[in-house]
Formats: sequence, structure tokens, C-alpha cells
Amino acid sequence: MQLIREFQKVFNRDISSLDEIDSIELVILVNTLNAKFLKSVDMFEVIDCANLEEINDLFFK
Amino acid sequence: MIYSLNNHLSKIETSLNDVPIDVTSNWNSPVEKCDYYYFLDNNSEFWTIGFLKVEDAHCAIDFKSTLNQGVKAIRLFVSVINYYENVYAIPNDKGAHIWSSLQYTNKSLYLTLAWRMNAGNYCHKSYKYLFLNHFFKLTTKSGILKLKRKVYYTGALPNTLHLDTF
Repeated sequence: MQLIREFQKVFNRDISSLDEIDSIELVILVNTLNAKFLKSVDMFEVIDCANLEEINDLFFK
Repeated sequence: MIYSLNNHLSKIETSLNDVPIDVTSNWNSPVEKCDYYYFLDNNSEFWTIGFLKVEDAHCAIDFKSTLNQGVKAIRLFVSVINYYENVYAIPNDKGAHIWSSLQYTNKSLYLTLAWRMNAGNYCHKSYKYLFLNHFFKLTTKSGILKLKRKVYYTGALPNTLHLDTF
């Protein structure tokens, strides 16, 4: 999943589920991906997501 | 007031005796002057935040989360902030990421001279500001010293921003 690859690049750590991301990592990741991919996904959309796949879709679909 | 939050994010009033010491050890202001909220998960990881009433606004203080679940932590954050009309905070670098990512308004902060006879102390674990609060105040208008930190807010800011609330 592209989101996990981008997470690994930013934080140099492997994750397999949403539960492994803390709140600061999440906001840094969202801001980083918005800047990198010229997106405007806001945190309110992200906090409605239940799993990594849903967050992945916000950025990469 | 002290409120416990459950999984449905609804709040239940509780007392200090019911709150684990791991949580209360993060509370730096007297509970009688604040609303404190906390959430405990099944692994005894917690999330907590306080709101100190300052004029017509509430200053968010003592935010701490040991939850691994970032989405859960931010969901709790947003739901509690929404209980208040005028909320502001002067967060540290990490906290600023959250306020900024949720697109709250921010302004630069300046230290300015201001003699106040009745300046109080709001952080009961640190009395160093008891003295400073008498002579200085924070303002969003240009002052003698621009601080690195910014104030993030929703609604209206109070006239006085206390030095010991961040």
C-alpha cells in the first residue's frame, strides 16, 4: 500500500495497522503527503477513516 | 469539573478519586479552576486535556496522549474542543502540528510589559510565573519580544493571555 511506503519514508518505521500511528505522526504524515502530492486532504476527512486502506484512498485514488 | 470520556465520546462527570494517578500527574492546574477530560483504553493507555476558563474563553492546557491510535486521539481532541465556543491554546511544537493540521486560526505572540496587581498563578506545579505574571503579559499585538510559539484559537481570544498556561 502506497500510504505505508510513504509512512516508512517519513518515519523510517514499519506499520501494518492504523493503531500503530500516534497522533503527531498522523498529522505530520497528512501534512507531508498534502505538500508532496499537492493534495488538500483535511484532518476531518482523515479522522472519519476506520483503517489504513481508507486513508490510503484519500491520498492515492 | 472532571469528565471521563467513553468509546462513544460522550462525557460522564466524575471525581478526582476515580482518575488514575498516571492521568492526574499530567494535570498542572488546580482542578477547581478547570474542566479536565480523560479517556482510558483497555491497555491503560490514556488521553487527557484540560480547559482553564479565562474571561469568556477556555484555554486548552495539559494535553497528553499515550494512545497509539492517532485517529482516535484526534477524534477525542476535536469532540472535546467542540464543547466550547471560544477555545485557544499556546501549544508546544508537537501540539502545534495538531492545531495547525485542523486549520485553527493562529497568530504570533509577543511579550509586553503590563503591571497587574491581581495577577494569579494558574500552574500549581510551577510558581516561577507568579512573579512574571505581575509584570508581563502575552499579546497578539507587537510587543517587546516575539515568541517562537503561536496562539491557536477558535472564536474570540481573551484580553489577557497568561504566561503560565503553556
